[in-house]
This record gives sequence, C-alpha cells and structure tokens, in this order.
Amino acid sequence: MADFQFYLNRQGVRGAKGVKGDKGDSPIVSVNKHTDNEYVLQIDNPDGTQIITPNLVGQQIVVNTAGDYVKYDRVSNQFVTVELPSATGEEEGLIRLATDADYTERDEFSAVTPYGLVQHLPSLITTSVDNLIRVFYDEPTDSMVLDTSKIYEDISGVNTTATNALNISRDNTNEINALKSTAIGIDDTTITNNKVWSSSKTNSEISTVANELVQTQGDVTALNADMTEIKPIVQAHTESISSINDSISNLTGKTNPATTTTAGIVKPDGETITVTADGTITAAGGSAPDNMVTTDTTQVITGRKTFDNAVTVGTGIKSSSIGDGSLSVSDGSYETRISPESLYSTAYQLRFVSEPATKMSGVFRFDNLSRDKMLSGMVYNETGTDYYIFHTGNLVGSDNITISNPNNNVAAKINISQALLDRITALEATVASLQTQIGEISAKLDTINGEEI
Amino acid sequence: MYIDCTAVKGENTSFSCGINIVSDTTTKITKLNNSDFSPFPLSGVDENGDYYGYSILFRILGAPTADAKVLVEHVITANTDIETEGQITDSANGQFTFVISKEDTDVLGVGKFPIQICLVDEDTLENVYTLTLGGERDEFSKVQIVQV
Repeated sequence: MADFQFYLNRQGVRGAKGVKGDKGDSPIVSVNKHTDNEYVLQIDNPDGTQIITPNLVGQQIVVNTAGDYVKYDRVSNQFVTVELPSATGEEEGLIRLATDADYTERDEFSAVTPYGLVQHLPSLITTSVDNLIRVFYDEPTDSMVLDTSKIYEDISGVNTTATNALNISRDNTNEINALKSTAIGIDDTTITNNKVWSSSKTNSEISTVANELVQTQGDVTALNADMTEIKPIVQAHTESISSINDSISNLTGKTNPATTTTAGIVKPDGETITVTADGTITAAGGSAPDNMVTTDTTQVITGRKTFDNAVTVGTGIKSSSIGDGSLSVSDGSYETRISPESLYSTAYQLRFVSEPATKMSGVFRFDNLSRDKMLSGMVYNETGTDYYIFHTGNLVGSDNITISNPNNNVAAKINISQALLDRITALEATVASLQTQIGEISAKLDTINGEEI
Repeated sequence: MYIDCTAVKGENTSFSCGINIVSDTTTKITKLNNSDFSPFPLSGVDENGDYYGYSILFRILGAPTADAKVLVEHVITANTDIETEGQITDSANGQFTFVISKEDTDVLGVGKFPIQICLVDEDTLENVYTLTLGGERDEFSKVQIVQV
C-alpha cells in the first residue's frame, strides 16, 4: 500500500457563487404596439439604433369555397383563396401544357412545348390535296422534314418573263419533264415538253445542249479511247523522227564540199572522172607503166626489179611448180629453195660464201640458239637408211667433236678422209705389233724371274 | 493530493506513491469515488499507437511559490537508485517512490519545506502534470525535517 495516492481528473469541491457580473451588450426589446390585430415590437440596439418590427399578428386567409390558390385582395386587404383564371390575350392567367387533344382541338389556352411541336406539327399543317408539300417527322434524324419533292407546276401558264424564277413541270408520272429558269440573262418565251432551257445559252434548249453534251461526252470518250491507241504510235513516230533528226544532223556535216582536210561531197569533172546517170563514177584515161606490178595473179614480171627497201612477203614467193611457200631462186638450170625449215638445192654444191671487205675476216656461223653455238645436223647416207647425228660443242677454241647415233645400235661412224683412214689403219697395225712384242718380252721376263740365280 | 511527510535529518527516508486516473470520463464525472479510478501507467502506447513514458520530478522548494528556489531536486526513473533518489517501481500501475536522502537533510536542515512532485516527459523532462498542486489556503505538500 503506497504512502500517498494521487487521483487525477478528480472533480473538486463545488465553488461558492460568484459575484454578479456586469450587464452585457444586448438589444432591448420593448412592445411598441399591442392591439387585437397588431403586435409590434421595438428593438433598441446597444449602438443606439432602433428597429420597429412589422405587425407580428399574421394575416388571416379568407378561405373561399372555390379555389385553392391564395390571393391578396387589395380591396379588402385580405388574403383570400381563389381559382386561378386562365390566361387570355388581355388578362394574365394560368397556362397549362398542351395535351394531344389540345393539339387536335387547337386549344387556345395551352402551351406548346418543342417536343409537342415536333410530334404534332405534321398534323397542324394542312397539306395540299395532291400532297405536294409534306411535313413529317423523320425519326432516324429526329427532325421535322419539309418534303417538296412532289411539287410540280404546270408551267404552261407561268409568267415566263419573271426574273429569277424556276418553273418545274412534271408529267403524269410525276417525273420532271420541263424546267425553266428565268434567271437574268434568259430571253425565252415558250416552253415545251421534254425541253429544258438553260441560262448558259440564250434561247437554247438544254435538252439539245444536253444531247450535244452527251454526244460530245461520247465523242470525248471515244476520243479518249482513240488517243489511248494513238499515243504509243505517236510516241514511236516521235522516236523515229528524233532518230531521223539525228541522222540528218549527222548528214549535215557531209553535205559540204570535200577538201584535202575535210570530208564532204565531190563533183566529178567529167573528164578525168566521169559519172553515169545512176551516179557511177569512172576514172577516165591514163595507162599503167610497162611491166608495172599489178594485182594480176597471172602477171609475169619480166626484166629486173630493184627493191630499194625491204620486201615483205606475206605467204612467200611461190613457184607455180612448188606451191609450198618457199623462196625459189633459179637460173633456169638449177634451183635453190629456201623454206622455213630447209635449204634445198639442185645444184651440185651449195656454197656459202662470205666475202667481207677484209679478207682476214669472214666467218660462217651456224647458230643453234638453244644450244649455245653448237653445230647440229643430221646427215643421211646415200641410201637413206642410215643417218648420222652430230653436234659440236663450243667450237671456239676447242676441237671437241661429238658424234652420236641416236639409236645406239649402229656403231658410230666417222666419215673422215681416206688418207686419214689409211693412217689410222697403219697405226692400228703398229699398235698390234707392239702389243705382241710386249707380250713376248713379258713372257721372257717371267721365265727369267722364275730361274734361281 | 496533499503530502505531509516527515524525514529524519541524517537519514534516507523513502516514501511510496501511486497515481490513479478516472477510468470512464464520459458517463460519470461527478461524485467520483476510488472505485472509479484505475492505476495510471507511467509508460506504454497511447491511443494513437505512439510510445510514451514519464519520469517523476521531485523537488523541495524554499517557498510555496511558483518561482521559489529549488533546494533539492531528483529526477526519478525506473533506473535511479531506490535508496538515495527513488525509483519507478511499477510503471504499469503508476507506482514509484521518492527519497529524501541524508544529503538532502543536510542541505535543508531542520524545518518545514514545501515539496513539489511532477510528471515529466522522460525524454524532454517537460512538465506534463503537477501532482502536488498548490491549494487556496496555502496548502502545499511539505516535508518536515526533524532531528530525532
């Protein structure tokens, strides 16, 4: 148990009554008038202003037997119940919304609403017997529609001189059969069926114009079709013309007279060069020198011909008897022919002559360019069955001679001079004799060696 | 609550206290009796869900006035020395003790001195409620230091 307990929020002892406070600022209300029918108060505010209330005794309402609306009657100075009068042209009064029956009966005292107007307008408008003009409510568009599609007018009696009038005539099927416009600029006096007058052509019938237009339209259509076909043709011709122009341009340069430096046209003089009616020109007069070389393949050149410069032979100078493209030189008795691979001669010798100006020089040189100045050749014997191939090495400063037989089945032969052959034979005999003597000496030496000394 | 306690000079004297608060402040606000009160927790969570905590501020004043000199002052929490300062012994039930220590008696000497006990915010030490309110007729909680 605690020594001391504290109690929070405990209500204290009721205090003594306080001293009366000062008077507050509040309005003073007093009675200004008090009668059976009136009770009026006077309010004096602390700021000194004063207000007099209206009569607080309420007005009594005199309830009549008829009417539920309260009206203030200035005459009797009373509120009375009355029936509201309907509004008239002179008097204000009650107006109510029109009902369907009001529209039908053309009620004078009901108000038309926009919705009611839309719903009932068609019934409010009297249409013509033939129903030319119709007013109806178009539900899809939620609007009133004035339909004049049936309007027609017999324009036969219409004032045709009136300006800016459009007269429409319909036939018995209600189709428009005539339109007449008297717009300013028109001057026409008669209207007939199936004709339409246009303001664009004075005194002209649109139908006629229309027919023309149709025809023109057809012509245009046809023309368009033709143009479609013609266009590529024209294009092709255009291209041809362009090409021709180019050709003409090219020919332009060819029409000028030719000069020694410029190509151009020429005119035969009629003497040295003649021309026929068909334009064939012929060189007149002149003769070729005697023995002039011509292109005549059968030409025979007699006499000596000197060629100061090189002569180029295309396919060779041919002998008619040879025909192999060789160069043939003949003195009538012997012939030597040079071909690309051979030197042939019918002479008993073929002499190669080098006759330089200096007799100390003069070399016959046979070059095998692929073998470094080797002399190569092939010789057939008389019967043509054997051949000998020889080639030499470097003959400069060397005496090497190599003889070979390609087939190696025949002993190489050296065709040398007979004297040299005889000498070789003699040497062979001498060698053989010496060999015999040497053998005998050897045998004797062997015998001597075998004996004991 | 009016406290009138006596302490012996040269001794530590401890006094226990409890704080109670009206349980129902709506249906009955007059003619309250003890059964209408319940212990006042010195820490917890308020109706907004925020934590609150109080400490006890114990003072011995030189005079029973608001501007009197503070002769002795102890801030009592749940962790202060229960022998020399006092302690919140049961925070949930508003129970705490305050101590007039030997040193306090030496400072005061013999005589009567007004005391003041306040509930303060444990963080800011801002006064929340003065438990020992001064009365009209010079009532003020006081301690009398006597020499035995």
